[in-house]
Amino acid sequence: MIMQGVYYTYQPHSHYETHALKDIRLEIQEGEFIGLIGHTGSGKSTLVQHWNGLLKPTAGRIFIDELDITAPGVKLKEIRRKVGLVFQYPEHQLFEETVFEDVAFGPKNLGLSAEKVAKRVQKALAMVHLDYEKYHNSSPFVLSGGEKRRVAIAGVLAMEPKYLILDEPTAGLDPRGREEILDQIGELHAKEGLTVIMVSHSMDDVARFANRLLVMHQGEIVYNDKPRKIFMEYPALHKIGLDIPTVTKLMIRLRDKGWPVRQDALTLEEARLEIMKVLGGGKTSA
Amino acid sequence: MVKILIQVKDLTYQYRTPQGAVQAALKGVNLQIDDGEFLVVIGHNGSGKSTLAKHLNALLLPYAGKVVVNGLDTQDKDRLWEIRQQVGMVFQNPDNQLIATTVEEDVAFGPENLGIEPALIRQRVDEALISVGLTSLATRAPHLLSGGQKQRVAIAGIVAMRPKILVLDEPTAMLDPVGRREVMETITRLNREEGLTIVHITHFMEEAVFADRVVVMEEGDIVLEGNPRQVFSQVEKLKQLRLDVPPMTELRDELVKLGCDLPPGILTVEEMVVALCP
Repeated sequence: MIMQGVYYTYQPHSHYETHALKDIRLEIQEGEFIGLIGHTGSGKSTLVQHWNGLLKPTAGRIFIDELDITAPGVKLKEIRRKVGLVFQYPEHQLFEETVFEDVAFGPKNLGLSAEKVAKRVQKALAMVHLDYEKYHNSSPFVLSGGEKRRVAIAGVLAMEPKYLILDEPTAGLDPRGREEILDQIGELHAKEGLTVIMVSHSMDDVARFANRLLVMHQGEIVYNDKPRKIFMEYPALHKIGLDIPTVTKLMIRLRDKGWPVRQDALTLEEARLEIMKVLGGGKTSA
Repeated sequence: MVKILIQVKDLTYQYRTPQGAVQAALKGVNLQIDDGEFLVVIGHNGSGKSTLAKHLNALLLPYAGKVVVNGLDTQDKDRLWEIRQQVGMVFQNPDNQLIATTVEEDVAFGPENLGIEPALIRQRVDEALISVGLTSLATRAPHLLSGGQKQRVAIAGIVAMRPKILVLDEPTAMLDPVGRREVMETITRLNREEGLTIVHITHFMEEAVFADRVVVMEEGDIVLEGNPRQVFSQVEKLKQLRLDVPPMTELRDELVKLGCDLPPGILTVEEMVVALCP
């Protein structure tokens, strides 16, 4: 997936001209897990809506698998089969009477046979760990918040996209729902081999999964690197209203106190190892 | 002696599902809330925390048991307005709570409905906007504000009614980290400086750190209760409930298992640094 000099501009050439996206240059390889982070209003959602042609850039070009999706006359249906976009609060878009019908909506529109549609629904529900027998006939509206969201994601997966983009998939869920969704996204990447772009506010969530992190600020990509490297820029991140993972914060504070620990630890496991190295196991500094 | 402001006694609430089955949302909850307290209620979706909150200002009435607010029984229909004036509620979605075309008109809505005279309304609105730090945005349109600002407008609308208790039902769930911080700073300040009693419902554990007392709900009842340190030191129990444990608390637990001597109840990075480098 490639973006070349993409701009998205409100009221271009007028006095009120504002760039929601400014000169975005980006390449995403197949199989990557990208975390996209930034403050509300930084341009994250605008950016991801360009990947499946929902928004058209004011300037610049976008390629998916060598197809220029910004070219005139391009078939949007083709793009949308490849790129599945899960919006914020996707459960607000559930509308059918049963879970089955809701997940089947996309594949049906592809003109697939009833048998093929049913297969896809079964597969998609299995991918989000919803038991087909238990759920397919129930109304989506009686499910819990986390279950509803998984049904909505299944609706996108039933299109069998190659690229999966999720806009704040854990927003508003409780810890249990958050864990379930994150684990399943991790699985879709690891087991099904989907290329994933996950928009998030949470550095902790992103740190767990993403092999590469994009940080947006005022319509621009200001960082594009491995999470560990980016978190070392914490004073600059703080300035644009972003936090770093709690563990990284601890490591930096310990370094300030003269402890020879690596600053770029991300997980509790890594922090524990680093601290035990210093304490020499069993002994404490006290 | 500290005054008890809210008394919840053996509170049971049940309702019928569309399929006709009886569902118990609260199963004999007992809770006291003191005047000036900052109480945080945590629990999963469906644990009963919102149902409990809605009982505090008579939006829901007990199926069995009792809720008494500042001496008023919520089942006493004649005192409904008094109860609602004393217990203000802020909900999850800021966009569902703002109705006027400017911030100050929105804040004035409550006091207007209380029949307060215009000059006094003006004064209350100004004071409420100072309380939440939004004076500079008084004439702005609410829909153009950020999520955190919108929630602060909603809070100001309640504060202008001069309640004794502010109940917030997941006010930060739909906000970004900056908005969450704004809301938490605002309610912490209202509690510390203006003595407002706060009942804050959330599933973000880090927000419970600010509380005097934390109550954990599961399946319609209170399963853990205490100050944040007491509650969070029960790492195993919290994990069983599949609630988040603050990362520093979890790390402390793991280090202790490996033989480190660290004090219990570590919640923040700062406390961990102090414990490790005395």
